Amino acid sequence: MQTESADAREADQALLRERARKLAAKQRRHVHLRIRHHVVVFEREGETYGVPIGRVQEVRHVSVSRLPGLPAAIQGIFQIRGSIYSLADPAALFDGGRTPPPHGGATLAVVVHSSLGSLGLRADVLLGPRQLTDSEFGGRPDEDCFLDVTTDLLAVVDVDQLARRAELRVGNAL
Amino acid sequence: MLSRWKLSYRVTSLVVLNFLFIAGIAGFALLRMGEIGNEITEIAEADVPITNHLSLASMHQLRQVAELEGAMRAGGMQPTDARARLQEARELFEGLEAQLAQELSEARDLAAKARSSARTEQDRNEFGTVLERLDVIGTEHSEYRKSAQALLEALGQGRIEDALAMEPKVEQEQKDLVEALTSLEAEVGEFTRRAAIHAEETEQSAARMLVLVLLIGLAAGLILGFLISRGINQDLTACTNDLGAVSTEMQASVQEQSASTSETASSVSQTSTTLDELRQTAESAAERSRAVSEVADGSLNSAGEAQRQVAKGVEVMQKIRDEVEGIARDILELSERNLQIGEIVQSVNAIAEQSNLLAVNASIEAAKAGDQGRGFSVVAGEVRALAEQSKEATEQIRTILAETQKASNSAVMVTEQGTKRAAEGVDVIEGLGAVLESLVDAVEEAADSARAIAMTANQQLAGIEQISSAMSNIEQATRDNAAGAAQLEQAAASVRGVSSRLEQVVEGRDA
Repeated sequence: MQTESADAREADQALLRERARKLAAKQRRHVHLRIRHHVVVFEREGETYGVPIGRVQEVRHVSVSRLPGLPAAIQGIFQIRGSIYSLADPAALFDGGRTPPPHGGATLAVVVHSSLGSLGLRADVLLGPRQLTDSEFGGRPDEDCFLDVTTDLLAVVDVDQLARRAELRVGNAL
Repeated sequence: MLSRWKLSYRVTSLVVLNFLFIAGIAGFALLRMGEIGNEITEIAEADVPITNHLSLASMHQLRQVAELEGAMRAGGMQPTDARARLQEARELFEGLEAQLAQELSEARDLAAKARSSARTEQDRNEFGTVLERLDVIGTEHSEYRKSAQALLEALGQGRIEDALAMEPKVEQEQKDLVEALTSLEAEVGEFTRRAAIHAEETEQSAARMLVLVLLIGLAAGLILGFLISRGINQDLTACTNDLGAVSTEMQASVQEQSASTSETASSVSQTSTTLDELRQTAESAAERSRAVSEVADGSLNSAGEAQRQVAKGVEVMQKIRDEVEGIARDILELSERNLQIGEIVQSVNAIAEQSNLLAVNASIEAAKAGDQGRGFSVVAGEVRALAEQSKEATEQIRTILAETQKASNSAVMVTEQGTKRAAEGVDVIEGLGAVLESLVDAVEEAADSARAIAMTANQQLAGIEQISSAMSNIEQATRDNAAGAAQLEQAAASVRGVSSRLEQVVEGRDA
């Protein structure tokens, strides 16, 4: 039994070494390519979104207050250092459906600057900053709110279009 | 009416009647014979003695007369011769006188006695007459004696003439006295003769009566005997017929009994055979019962041992349960520690998350700052890396905690299950103990029952042996009954023969 466990550990070690080697090779390739976008990547409802880092004010957990009469994409408002921001749900904006509103404690929000003002984008998981090179992109996206979509289906969000859509939604609701 | 009497009564009555008849005849005969005897007795005791006395008195009187004559003649003789002769005559006379007086006295006594004991008035009169006559004779004899003495005195004195003068008187007195005596003797003789004749007549009368009574009794006996015998014959005939029928029935019954006895003997034989088999079976059953009893005792001991082991098992299970509960408590405590660690890890993770956010925000600001923010971007990257490492560490810790918690939960579940199983085991063992206890009770009952069965089997065997012995006795009795039935059959045949002979006797036929 001890020889079997020693063999298993040796196999795991070999596998990890191979994985590390491949990752290192991937990084070296990645250095020589042009960075098209530098985004902050987050996930929402299983979809991966990237917001240009220049447009990101901050990422933090916020406490959302629900307001009646708002569209489904606008899930409420929150405040940061005395400033009020609205919280938009990318999934509701892009899918058109209704998603469950935030409940309970803090909600992860990516606060972005747009031409129509700052708003928060609801996120489930913050994956952090990422530099996207040209090799990671394929064709142009159909959605006008997306600047680009990578081959691994990371959608680079056009914050201004997204803000307009959110405002339209709010305007329609009003 | 006679037919209603019992045979013994009828025969007894016949015998009694005959006896009474005979007794009557005998009594009549005895009476008559008594009468005859009395008469003969009278004749023998009174008449004849009186006659004898009278005869003797007469003889004495005649001798007195003779002596007196002699004395008279002696008077004519020489004085010396006369005196002696006279003296002799006087002496003889006196002697005869005494004898005569004695005879008369005895005759008188006899007559008085006969009169007092006379049975009839006639006899008393007759004896009274004899007494009177004797008195007269006595008186006459006294006078004669006086006269004779005077005569003899005169002769003695030599007074022949006086003596001669007195002689006619004396002779007359002699004659009278002799006549009286003779007459009385004749009368007494006549009386005796009449008594004899009366006795003879009485005898003849008695004989006739006897004959008559005999004839009457004979006729009555014949008639009564005929009636009784006829009734007896009828009854005997009926009894004979009944006896014949009974004997026939007896014979038939005996034959049936013989057949039944044979069947009984056969059945007894079969039963004896069956009893032998049953005895063997009972012996086998008794042996098996004893074996079962021994096994039951062994089982009882084993059950008791099992009960003790179960008690030990319960104790052990309870200890296990206590230890498992202790383990469960430890595991729960461990789980609580894990939860506390998890909370801490969660706090650390939150800190790491916040640190990551901070690092991201720092990276964002650094990216906005351009080249001037490069160093800050590196620091933010390092901080983010640290945050990522913290997150990874916390994730690992969480994973480990999850695994630990899972293991703890699993252990808790296992311990709970173990506790439950231990409790169930305790319950099962306690139930087993109860079952064993009931089993012990059942085994005890079984052992008791086995012992009782063994005892019963032994008693049954003893009973079967007794039954077998009884069957042997019955078989012997059956054989005896068969022999008895044969004898009874012979007896029935004998009874039938007796009935036939009785019938023959009753009917008077030849054998």
